[in-house]
Amino acid sequence: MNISVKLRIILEICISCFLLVCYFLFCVFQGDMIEQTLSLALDQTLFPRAITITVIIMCFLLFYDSIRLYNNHKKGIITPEIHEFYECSEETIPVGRILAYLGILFGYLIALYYIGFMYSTPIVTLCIAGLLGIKRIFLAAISSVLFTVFLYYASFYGLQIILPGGILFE
Amino acid sequence: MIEDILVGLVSILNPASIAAIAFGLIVGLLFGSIPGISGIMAISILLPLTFYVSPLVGIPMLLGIYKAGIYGGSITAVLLNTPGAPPAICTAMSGFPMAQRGQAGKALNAALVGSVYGDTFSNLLLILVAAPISYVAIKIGPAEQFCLILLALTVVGSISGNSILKGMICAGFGILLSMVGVSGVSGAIRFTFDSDYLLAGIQLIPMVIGLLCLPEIIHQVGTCAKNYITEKIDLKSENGRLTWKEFKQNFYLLFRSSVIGSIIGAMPGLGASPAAFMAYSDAQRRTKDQDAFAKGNVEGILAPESANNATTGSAMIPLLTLGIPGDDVTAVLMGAFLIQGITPGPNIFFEHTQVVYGIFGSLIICDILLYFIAKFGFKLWIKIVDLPRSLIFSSVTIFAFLGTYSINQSLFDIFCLICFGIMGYLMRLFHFSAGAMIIGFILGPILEKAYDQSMSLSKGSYMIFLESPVAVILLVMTVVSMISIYRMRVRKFKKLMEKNIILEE
Amino acid sequence: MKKLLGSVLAVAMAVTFTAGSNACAADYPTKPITLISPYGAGGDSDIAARVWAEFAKKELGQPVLVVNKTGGGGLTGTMFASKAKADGYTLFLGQLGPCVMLPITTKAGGLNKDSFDMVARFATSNTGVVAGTDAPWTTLKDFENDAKQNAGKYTFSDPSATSWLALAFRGWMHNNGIEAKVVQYTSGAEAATAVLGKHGDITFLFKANFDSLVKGDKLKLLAVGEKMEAYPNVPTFNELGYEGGYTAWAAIAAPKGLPAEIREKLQTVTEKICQDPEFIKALENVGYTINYLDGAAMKKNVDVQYLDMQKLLNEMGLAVQ
Repeated sequence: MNISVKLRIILEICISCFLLVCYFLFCVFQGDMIEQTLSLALDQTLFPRAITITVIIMCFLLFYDSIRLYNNHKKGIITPEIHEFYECSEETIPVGRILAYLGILFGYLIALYYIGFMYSTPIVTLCIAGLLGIKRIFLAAISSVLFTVFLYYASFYGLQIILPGGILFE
Repeated sequence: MIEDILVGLVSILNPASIAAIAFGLIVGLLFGSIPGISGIMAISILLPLTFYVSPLVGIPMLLGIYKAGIYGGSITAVLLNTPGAPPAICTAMSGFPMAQRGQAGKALNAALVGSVYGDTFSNLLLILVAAPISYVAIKIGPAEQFCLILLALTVVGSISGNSILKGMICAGFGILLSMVGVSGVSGAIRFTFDSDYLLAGIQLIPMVIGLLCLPEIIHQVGTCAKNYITEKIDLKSENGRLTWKEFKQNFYLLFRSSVIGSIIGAMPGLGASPAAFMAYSDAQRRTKDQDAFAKGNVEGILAPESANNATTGSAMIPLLTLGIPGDDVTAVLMGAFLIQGITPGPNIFFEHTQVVYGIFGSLIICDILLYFIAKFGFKLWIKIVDLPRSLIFSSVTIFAFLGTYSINQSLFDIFCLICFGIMGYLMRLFHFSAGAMIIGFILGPILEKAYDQSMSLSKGSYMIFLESPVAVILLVMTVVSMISIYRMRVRKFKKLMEKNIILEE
Repeated sequence: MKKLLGSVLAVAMAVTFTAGSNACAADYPTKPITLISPYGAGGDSDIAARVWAEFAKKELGQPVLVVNKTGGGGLTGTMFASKAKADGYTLFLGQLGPCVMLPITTKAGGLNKDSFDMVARFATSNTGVVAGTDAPWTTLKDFENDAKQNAGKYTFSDPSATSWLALAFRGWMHNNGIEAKVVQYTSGAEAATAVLGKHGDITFLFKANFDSLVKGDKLKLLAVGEKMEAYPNVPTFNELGYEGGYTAWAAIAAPKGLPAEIREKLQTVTEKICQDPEFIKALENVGYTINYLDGAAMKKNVDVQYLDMQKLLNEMGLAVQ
C-alpha cells in the first residue's frame, strides 16, 4: 500500500484532530481517574492537568500546522515537510505481512499463557523466520528447538527466572 | 595513610581480581547488548555470591558488569537499530545510519572510544575530587532539581526530527504514561481504571523495546530484510575504525560530554539515559555540520556514549562519600559493599583505605580491559550479524519477550510490549519521535517529585524557584537552550527551503 | 535426520514435564521455590530476601529464586503474593509495611490482616530519628518541645509516602500534637540527603541508612527504636516516654492456607539458618538484627500491631478499613 501525498496530509489532519479530542476528554475526566490515598497537602490532579493542558495546546498548534500543510499543497508550494512526504510516498507498506507479524506476536502471548514457553517458542521462531524469508526450513526447525531449550535453562541458571509453564499444564 | 593507598592500589593486581573484572565485563557486555536484559539484573543475581569472596574480587566484578552493561547497549544499537538499553537510544540514531552506509566499524569503534573516555574521565574524578563534588551534590534541593529537569526536557527539541510540536506531544504523553499506577511520592492511585495490572505502573523496558526495537523488526519483516546492512563490515579500513584525526577533532566534544555525564551522574536520581540525551542535544547544537550530524556521524555517537559511561564513576561519588546511592544500580552496588561489612559513608576512606583504593585501582583496570575485550568482541559480533536476517530478527523478538518477562514476570508487561510495538511503528510512519516519549517517561516522575517537594517546602509559593541562585541559573540555561534549538531549526528550515527552490528550478 | 529431530523434541518435552510436575507435601520441596520481594533489587529488604534464599537453598535442596515484583509502593508484590497458590512454592518476604500497613490504607487488592500466613520472623530492623549536626536538639524530647512551640516551622523529610517509617513518625507527631511540614521523598537515602543538604530538619530512617552518616558525624541521632551498643547515650522512644513499637521486622510469609507440614518445615529451616554465624554476619552487615520468632507467635504479634496501627490511622484519617 502506498501513501500518496494527499492521503498523507489528510491523515496528518485526522491525527491532530484525534489527539486533540482525546486529550480534551482526558482532561475533563481526569478527576475521576485519580484516587487520593494517604491524604496529604498536595493536590494530585494538578500536575497531570498541567501537562495535559500543555499537550492540548500543542495539539491545537499541530492541527493548525496540518491545515497549513493542506493549503500549501493545494497552492503547490513545496515545504521541506511536503518534500519529505513525496519521498515517503514511494515506499510501499506491506500491510499484510505486518499484520501477520503482529498476529504472531499476540499469538505468542496467548500461547505463553496457555502452553508455556517450551512449546510455543520453537513454533513462533519458525513462523517469524518464515515471514522473513528463510531457505533451509529443516535446519531452522532444529536450531529453534535447541535455541528454546538453551534459553530456558540459561534463564533459570543465569537470570534466575522460571519461564511460563502454561496454564493447561498446571 | 599514603602507604595504605599505595598498598591498596597494588593489591588489585592479582590474578583472581583481574579474572573477576574480565568476567564481569564479559557478562556486562552480554547482558547490556541484548535488548531487554540489562546489567542491573546480572548485578542483582550475582550479588549474594560476592559474599563468599573477598571484596577485591566481588566488587570489581560487579563494577565491571555495571560499566560494560552501559556500553553494551550500543553494539546492538549500531548493528541492528535495536538499542540494548535506554542510554543507547541516541547511539542508535547516529550509529545505525552509519552502519547502513558501510561505516559500521567506525560507529562501533566510536562508541567504544567514547565509552572508555567517559569512563576514565569520571573514574579520575571519583578518585581525585570525590569529596568536594559530594558536598556540592547534596546542595541540590528540590527547586534546583526541578529546574534541572526542565533543562533536560529541552533535549526533546533536538531529537524530535522535523516537528518540535510532535516531539513535545510525545514527551507530554510519556510524562502522562509515567503517572499510571501508584505515585511514588504521595501514594495516590492514578489512571489505573481499577485494573490490578496497571497498579504496578508501566515499565520502562517494554516501552523502550516496543517503541524502538519492534518497529525495526516490523520494518524488516515488511521489506523482507532486503535493504539491510549489505556491505561486509570491515574493521581495518578507513571506514572500519576511528582515525586518530577524528579523535583529535572531537576531543573537546568528548571532554564536554564527559563533564555533562559526570555532573548528571553525581546528582542522585537521574542516571545514564538523561545524560546521554543531554550530551547528544548539546553536540547537535554545537556541531559545525548540521547536515552530517542529522545523517549520522561520529559526533552523534561519541557524545552520548561518553556521557552515559561518565555517569558510572560519578554515581559512585555520593555512594562512597555519603553512603547514598544515586540510582538503582548504585543501590544494588551498595548492597555489595554492605554484605562485605564495608559501610559506604564518610569514614570509609579511613576505615577501609586499602579496599577503597583497591577498588579505585580496579576501576582503572576495568577501562583498560573493556577496551580490549570489546575490540575482541567486535569480531564475534560481526559474525553474528552475518547470519541470515530471518534468524537474527526472530531471535531478537524472542529476546525482547524474554527480557520483558524477566522484569516482573508478568505477562501484562509483554502485552504492553506489543502495544508499544504497534504504537512505535505508527509513530515511525508519521514521524512522531519515540525518543521524546521515552525521555518524557523517564524524566516525568522526577519532575513531578521535584515539583511536589518544592511546593511542600514553600507552602505553595512559586518564589522558591527564584530564591536559589542555582535554580535561577538553570532556568536561564533552559531558556537559552530553547532559544538556540529554535534558531537552529529556523536555520535548517531556511536551508532546506533554498535547496527545494533550487531543485524546483 | 528425522529421527534426530524426533529425539531432540522428545528430550525437550521430557525435560519440561519434569520441570513442571507437581508434588505432595511430604517430599516438599520437589521443585524450585519463588520468594516474592515487593521492593526493588538492591534495597535492604531485597538483600535480606536474597541472603535467606541462598542459605535456605542449602537446607531445602531446591533453588529458592527471589522475584522482584515491584510497583505501587510494595502493593503489586503484596497483592500478587496474597493471590498465589498456597502450595508452599510461592513465599513472600513479609514486612511491617506490606503486611500491616497496606491492608489498612488501601482498598485495592483486597488485602486484610489475614491475607498471609506467617511462617517465621527472622530479623528485626532498628530505626532512628536523625537531624543535622547543627540542630539545636540533643534528644527527641528537645525536638518535641521546640516543635510544639513553633508549629509549622520545621520540615520532616518523609522517606516514602507508602512506607511504614513515614506513617510511624507522622503518627508519633500526631500523638504528641506536633505540626510540621512534611516533604515527600521516595527513599530513605533521599531523605537522608535532604537533611544533609539542609533541605529538611528531621527524618526517620532504618539503621542501614543512617549508621555510617552518624558515625561520620554528618548527622545527629536523636532517638532509636531499640537501644544500640554503638550509641549508648541515645535514648529509645520508650525511654523518653513514648509508647509503642518502633522497630520493623522481616519474616517469611505465605499466602493464606499454607499446609501445616510445609509451614513446620520452613520454620525449622529458618530457625536453623538463624543460628548460622555466616547468615547472622551477612544480615547484620546490611543493618538487620537476627531475631527468630516462630509463625504462631509472630501471627499474634502482627495482629496486635494491626489493631494498634488501625486505631492510629483511623485517628489520622488515613484508614480505609
